[in-house]
Amino acid sequence: MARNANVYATKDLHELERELRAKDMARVARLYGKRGFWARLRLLLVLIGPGVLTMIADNDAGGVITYAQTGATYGIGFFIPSLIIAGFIAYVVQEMTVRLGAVTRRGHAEMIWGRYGAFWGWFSLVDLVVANVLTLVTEFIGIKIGMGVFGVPGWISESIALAIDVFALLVLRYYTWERIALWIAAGNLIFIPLMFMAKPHWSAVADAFVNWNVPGGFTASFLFIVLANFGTTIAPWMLFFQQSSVVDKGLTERDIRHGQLDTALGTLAMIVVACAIMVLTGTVMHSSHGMNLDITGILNLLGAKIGPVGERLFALGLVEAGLIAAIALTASTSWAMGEAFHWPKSINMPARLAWKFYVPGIASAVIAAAIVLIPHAPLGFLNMIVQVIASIFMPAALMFLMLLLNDREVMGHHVNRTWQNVSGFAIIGLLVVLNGLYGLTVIFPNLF
Amino acid sequence: MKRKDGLIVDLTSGAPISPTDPLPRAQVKGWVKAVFWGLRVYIAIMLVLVVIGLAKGSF
Repeated sequence: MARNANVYATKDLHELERELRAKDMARVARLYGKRGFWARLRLLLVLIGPGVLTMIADNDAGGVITYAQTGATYGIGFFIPSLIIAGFIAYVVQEMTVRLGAVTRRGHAEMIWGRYGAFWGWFSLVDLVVANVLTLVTEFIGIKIGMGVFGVPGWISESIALAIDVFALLVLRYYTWERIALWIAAGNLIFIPLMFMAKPHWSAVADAFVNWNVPGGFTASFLFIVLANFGTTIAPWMLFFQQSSVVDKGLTERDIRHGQLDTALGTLAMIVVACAIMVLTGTVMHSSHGMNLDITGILNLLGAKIGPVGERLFALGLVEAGLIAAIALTASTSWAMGEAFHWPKSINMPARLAWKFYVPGIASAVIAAAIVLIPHAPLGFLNMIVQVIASIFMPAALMFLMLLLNDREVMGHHVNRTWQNVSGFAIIGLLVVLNGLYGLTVIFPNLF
Repeated sequence: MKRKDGLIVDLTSGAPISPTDPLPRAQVKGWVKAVFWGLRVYIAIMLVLVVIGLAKGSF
């Protein structure tokens, strides 16, 4: 059927949004109607997406750099087991967004705005958008540094990454966008063969689980790196992104089990890749170098220790990590703005009809790419601001999640079970304590 | 309900509050009210720490 902007100027765009989503829902409904192993497998493959994408995108350029620096600084002793705990935390939190999205069929921003009013709505939206733009800056830095290993000038690598990001969001339907993003996300697995290239001592990895202790004692710098690792494992954008993704994909209550499996698979992939990076740098760099290695130093050292192929593979991984996170963050900003202001909010929507939805995401990516190209931009300071916003915002975002997941009026019988509430509030408590302790070390540097 | 390719796709029902209906404001009372006050206090403390950190040049 021919469609044009004039027709939809008078038609409810929200109705069109639901109509377009119905196509994806019909595909799923057909697969539910089929019997047999292959039909079940196909159903699973069709429904997988939001969880894997969120978790892999969380292994972003900043995350790769943090894990690599942690491995180089502290070896594999403390952080490999702690990553597994962080994986459990990430699963518990993200699984809640699946249920919330599938039951309410509304995004996180819309839920906060609608249930708790404009003040908390604005608070969440401003924090999210500012943190997203600044996190995008770190993604473009990662892309620039990674492509720099292949001799590609910064402005070219930034332009290509931006073009892929914008093209995917503007031109593709949700399902195609998600499939392409998943293929890009698969590139994250590049760190696993890289780990094997380093020939790690598996007995040392196993020993990390047996003798779990804080290397060098509890210091302010250790606390900072613990916060950085938790901060990179669970981030505010993940809550908003996965819930919006579940809604845009058209998942319903019937799909919750598949959504949980999707999230579990994503968590597994995220933790395996994060461990691989830490084992890699912990094996190659920890004994001889250690502290104060930036990402360029890590790349150079990898080249010297495991050869130029290793250095290039790591650089490719860094580019992939930046690109997949940029795609996710851009969509997250657009979804959150659309949900907050009740604009049409679907990647299925044609750009000419839903330009309000697309503009914020694309603008955030353009601003971030431009900041990276500014000579002498205070990138370290910007990165610190991201950490500060995330540390203030994350407990608040988690609290809203917990309130919503205990709200029978919106969740019905899908409200949290006791163990989920205990886990959720324990996670919030842990974050508040860690953030508070770090804040105290700022005022009292000799506290530890 | 929408009919697509011979299949009925349920677009609205199932959710306790239909996705097409306006979302009513939550009743903020009891422990939820305490949570919101805790949140405000936490944010205020963190902002004070950030300001002190900036003033001391710790960032």
